[in-house]
Amino acid sequence: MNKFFYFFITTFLIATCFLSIYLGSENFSNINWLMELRLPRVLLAASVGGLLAICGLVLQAIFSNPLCEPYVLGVSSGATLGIVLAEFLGVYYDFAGMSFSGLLGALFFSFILLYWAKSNRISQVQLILVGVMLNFFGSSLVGLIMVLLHPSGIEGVIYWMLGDLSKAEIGSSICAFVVLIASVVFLLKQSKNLDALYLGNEFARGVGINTLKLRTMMVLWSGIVVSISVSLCGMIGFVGLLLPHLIRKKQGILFKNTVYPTAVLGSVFLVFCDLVSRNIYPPKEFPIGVITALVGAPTFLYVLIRKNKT
Amino acid sequence: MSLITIENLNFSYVSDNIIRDLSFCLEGGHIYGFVGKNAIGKTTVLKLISGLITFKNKNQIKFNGKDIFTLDQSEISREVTYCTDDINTEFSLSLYDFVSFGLYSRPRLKNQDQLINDVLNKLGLSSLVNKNVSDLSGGQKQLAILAKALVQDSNCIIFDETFSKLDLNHQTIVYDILLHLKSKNKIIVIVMHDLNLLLEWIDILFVLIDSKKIVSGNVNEILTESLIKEMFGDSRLGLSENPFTKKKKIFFKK
Repeated sequence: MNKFFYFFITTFLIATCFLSIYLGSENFSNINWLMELRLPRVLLAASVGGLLAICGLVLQAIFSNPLCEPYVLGVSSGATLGIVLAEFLGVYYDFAGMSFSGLLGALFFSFILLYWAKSNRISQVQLILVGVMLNFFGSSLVGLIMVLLHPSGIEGVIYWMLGDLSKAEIGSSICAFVVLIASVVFLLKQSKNLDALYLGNEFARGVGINTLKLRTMMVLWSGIVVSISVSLCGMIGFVGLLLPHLIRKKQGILFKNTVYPTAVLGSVFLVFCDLVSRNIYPPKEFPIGVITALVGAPTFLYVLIRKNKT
Repeated sequence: MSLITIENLNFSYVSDNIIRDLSFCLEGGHIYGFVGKNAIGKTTVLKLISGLITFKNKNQIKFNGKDIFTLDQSEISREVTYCTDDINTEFSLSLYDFVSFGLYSRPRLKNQDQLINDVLNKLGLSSLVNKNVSDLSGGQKQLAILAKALVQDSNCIIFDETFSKLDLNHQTIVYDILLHLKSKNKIIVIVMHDLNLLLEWIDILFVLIDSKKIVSGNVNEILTESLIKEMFGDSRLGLSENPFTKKKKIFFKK
């Protein structure tokens, strides 16, 4: 059953990618152009979509909270703040498109959340509120820095806040794809530990898991993943919320059954959103974050309402 | 024989000193009852013993002479299982998968499926294996928690209010299981606000009077009306005896 499902979604991903490479505002007949412009973009969308989706899955487990995802928790805006601040101060360094300052920003915000959740014994909804506030705070500082001090001004703000795949390059897209594959393997290895975290920190400790080590490791991993995706294409919200919910409905909560499908369908989702954003009103492009938020925000509300009913 | 010794245990949350210089020991082959009024620190003490709360003081909790600090989380979970029904059921997990978490620290055990199915059978839960834990009734959830503890098979099992929603039939089933665990030289610790049921089940009573005073001993020997008054500050409570088991019971006098 699982094999058939995995085969089906993988085929679906490949088909969506081909469709997305083929369809666009101008019908390229030149194969080189397709390869240079569309392929990196589609590969980047697939990689970032997969990474953000599994990142949401992991954050939901480590905070035992179904509403968590990097954008809602403010981790993405921490990464953006790190990048913009480093650019402004002239200390921007990156490795294959991954920004070190972005990583520091994402980790800084993640550890604030982790520490807050641990020391104040806050409720699940309060955790989300803390995240939303971090998001606002980070985004406001980004806006302030960009408009006052950066030559790109308000356009730069839109790039960071709503995401943009148009700057994709083949080298960094391949790197992101390799990180995606490595992350799926890494999470599958940690699957049993992560499963226990769904039931809460104490439960996981009680069955013999060193939760401090595990949660720290996962926050570091999610910081890396988020900073890669933000460095390459700005903040894209809600991918990490929508897909884990759909997959858990079908596959149950165990990581061994959810990691791969979440990654694949996350890729499909973002490739598809990119396709829509390019083709809805050509030759204009919509920022990709607009499309994901249009789908993601109602999902967030749906989950919240369902949570209150149970 | 397993032995847990607690020597001069001290612990506090941020500002208030909850536990001060508390000392006692727990031996295998006994069923212990922990009582004391609300917020006196029962759960805190038991969570400290279970390694669920991080604290800094060394040489205060020992398992067979080994300090809890020298053990990793997996070894602690082989020593103690702390059961509570305060678990996050936000995510739906099948009963079978839930119970199988008990085997996390025993990955090399053979016939894992058989063990889980036997335990579920014994507790009358086998028809519910595929049901989500979040959809179980309060009593069924408590039985699921017991099942997980039985699968985990630690030397000491602590039940913190995990029998409060059981019907009479299941209470007798659970008591038989407790007696079986006792015969296997396990340490059983029960916290329960239904004192009359607790007194029926336990051998040794621990009464937490305040943050540093603990009175312990055989139930029938130490339980007196004055102790109950000291415990709960109410003089309307009196003691009598169960005509069948000769164990003491607490009643309202008026």
